Amino acid sequence: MADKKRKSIKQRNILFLSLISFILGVMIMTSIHTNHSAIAATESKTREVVDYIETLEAEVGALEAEINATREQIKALESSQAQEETQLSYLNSLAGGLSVRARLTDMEGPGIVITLDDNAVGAALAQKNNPSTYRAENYIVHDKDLLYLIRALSHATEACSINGLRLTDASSIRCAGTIILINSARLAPPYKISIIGDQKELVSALTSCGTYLSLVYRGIPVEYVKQDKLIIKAYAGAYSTNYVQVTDDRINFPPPDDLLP
Amino acid sequence: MWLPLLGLIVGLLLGSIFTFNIPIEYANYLAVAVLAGLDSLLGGWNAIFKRDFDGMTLITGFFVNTLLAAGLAALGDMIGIDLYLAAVVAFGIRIFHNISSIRHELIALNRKRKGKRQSHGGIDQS
Repeated sequence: MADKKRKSIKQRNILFLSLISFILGVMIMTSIHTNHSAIAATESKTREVVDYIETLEAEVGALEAEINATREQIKALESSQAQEETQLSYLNSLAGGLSVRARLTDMEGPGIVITLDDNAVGAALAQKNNPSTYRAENYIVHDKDLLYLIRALSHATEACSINGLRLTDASSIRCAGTIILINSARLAPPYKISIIGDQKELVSALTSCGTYLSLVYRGIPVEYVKQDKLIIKAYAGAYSTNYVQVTDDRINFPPPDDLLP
Repeated sequence: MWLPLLGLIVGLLLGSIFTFNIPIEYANYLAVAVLAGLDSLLGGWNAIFKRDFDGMTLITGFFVNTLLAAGLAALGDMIGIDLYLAAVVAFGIRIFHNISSIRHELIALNRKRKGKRQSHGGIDQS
């Protein structure tokens, strides 16, 4: 009886031991699987992170390339801008030079001022003493007097104006009755001719020219004054062309109005 | 006596066929519980060899130890101390102790059997 009971207890113990062994086996495998899963998950996450980093590196590379391209563009633009500024500066100086040549700018410098006036006193005396031989045109300043005088001094003249009207290559000096027209503007005596140039040469040319001597002979009041700083205003009129045409296709003529000073 | 070994093999097979995955954050707790279970099992075998085995002690020891080990590890995580390391060390020492004890018991048993066989042989010869 006791043996049977002992045997039964032994069998129960073995059963317990087997059950515990079974549970432990399952636990061991579960633990191993879980660890494998954890390792796989970690590797997967690591791979994801590596992929993400590689993607970011590629993006950074692309952005760096873009930055370099933009820098090159900026450099090219700066270079182009500098070139344009150089060209603009050149064009400005060219336009300035052409303005000076076209008498479109104010000028200053040393020169002489010649003043002419009608011989009113001589005319009055002649009219009174010899009315039969009196001729009024002998006592006034004519357009040709001004014209010849200016022409005689032209080789030493750099800028010239008569009564403030700038003379240009296209200027005309004409008479209309008793008045003189310069640049289509009417002038009345006295006539003040301002000339910038070599004073010595101008005076020499003036005093030796026939027109000057003729004026002095006719008793026309003519005098000149040297000035160290003479200001001559720019030509204010227009250059009109009606018939001429430029043969060079590269030149845009006449220039647009907004380009004219 | 082969039944417990068979139970272990069946458990391992079942565990590998039906993969029970628990959340990764509990992996440490399960590992500590496995150590506790292994300690209990080896303790059971040790008791068998010493003829001091009690099934109820084994069952209660197994479940209490595994749950307590996992619980301690979880508590350690909560309070910021790696308590599972303490359980690993403690159960590791116990496991080696049990294995050593089992080995000694097996050697003693073997020697005892050899002695018996030799005494039986002497009678036969005489």
